[in-house]
Amino acid sequence: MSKLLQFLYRSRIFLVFLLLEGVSVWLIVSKNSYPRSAFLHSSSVLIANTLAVRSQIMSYFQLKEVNEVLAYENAQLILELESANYLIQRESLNEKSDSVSGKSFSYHPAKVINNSTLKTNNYLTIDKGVKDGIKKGMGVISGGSVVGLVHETSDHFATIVSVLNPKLLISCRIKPSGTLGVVQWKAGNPREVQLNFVPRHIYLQYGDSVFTSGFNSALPEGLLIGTIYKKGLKADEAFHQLMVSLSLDFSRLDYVYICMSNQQAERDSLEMKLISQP
Amino acid sequence: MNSSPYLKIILNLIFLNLAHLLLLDHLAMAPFAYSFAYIGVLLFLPVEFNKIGLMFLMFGEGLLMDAYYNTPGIHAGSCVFVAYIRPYLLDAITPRMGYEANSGCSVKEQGLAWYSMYSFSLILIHHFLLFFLEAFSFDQLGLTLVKVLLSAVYTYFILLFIELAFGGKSN
Repeated sequence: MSKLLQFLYRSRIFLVFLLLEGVSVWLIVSKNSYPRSAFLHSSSVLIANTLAVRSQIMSYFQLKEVNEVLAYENAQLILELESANYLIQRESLNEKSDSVSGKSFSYHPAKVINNSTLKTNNYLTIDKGVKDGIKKGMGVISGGSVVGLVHETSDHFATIVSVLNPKLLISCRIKPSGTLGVVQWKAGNPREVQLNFVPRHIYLQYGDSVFTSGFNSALPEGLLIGTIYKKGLKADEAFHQLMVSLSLDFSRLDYVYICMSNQQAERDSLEMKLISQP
Repeated sequence: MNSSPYLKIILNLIFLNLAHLLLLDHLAMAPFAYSFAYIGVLLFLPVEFNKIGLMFLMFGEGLLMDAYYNTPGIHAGSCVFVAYIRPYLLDAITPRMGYEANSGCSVKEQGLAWYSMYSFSLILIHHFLLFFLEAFSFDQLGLTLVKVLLSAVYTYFILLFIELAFGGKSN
């Protein structure tokens, strides 16, 4: 017994090493471990507050670009206002309004306080959290384009899985052909994503636009993702090999909008029944 | 060295963490070279340092970075590994006369050649583990290796700069 204790004491350094490495590996491989959801993400209080301070300092240096973005968004809003006015005119002439066509999303602005575009898996952190009504799985957009989905939340902060993360797949529709596909980022260039599962019989051109399909209940339909700029078709492949250049520059994100869907819960619970039934 | 060694270590820790989180992380040279200068926390410790304490210290440091980068366990794992092998490396590259009592690992005390050998090998091992754990596959082996090498060189120079600019004062 005493020999065993002596042996354990002599190899204590190696044992501590194994223990700590074991914990690390467990953190890496376990998908839904408690520490991860509790504090090991950048919306945890300590990290998020540091990031908020940094963001406050850095935001002074970005005022010019922020102005440009705001001006651009203003311009788009004016356009939308015009088309809305047109709809109102048309409605007042003869058409009845329809309860189904009512707005299914509301948008809430948030400031990006941490952002990565160059890692293998990229995340953002924003300064809005559970207390502002943010929940896991909500869609995030900016400038009419997709940013990602909410990943983890704390009281005042939330992390977002960015489009530049291979774990995020986005259902999309190509116009003008109307074909469906799936957009996924492959580590490397933060300006382009892969477009998968477009059958080979579809005719595509460079510059075809890729929009969200609305099949994912968290994201509204018709958000521009980007345009096709590289395409290839191998003789023995069933699908096109397509690269899409993103319309959004993720390295310059400053303000984003959280899409809160009025119907997401209802729709998801209905569609979950399909999965749970045989 | 007038101030107590622990005070110096703690100040070092705070300085490097703040520098890393607030500034150095943003100086990445896209998409290949990243600086993980927080590893200086390990490098700038004195030669004689409790081995178990060192591993726990680096485990905590790694967890902090994991929280920042949203990469649970990856930084912690690599940090603990370099903390474990650091004493062996120090033994392997002992100068001919041995280490002086209470000596640190700075350029001034040990010379540039020794410091480079010591810091670059630890940085390289740390970055190697880090990038491969992050990629978690040998899919893009070439790209990952290039990232490891360039980032290690980059981190080495940033830390050398910090060391030469701020490290000399306390001696």
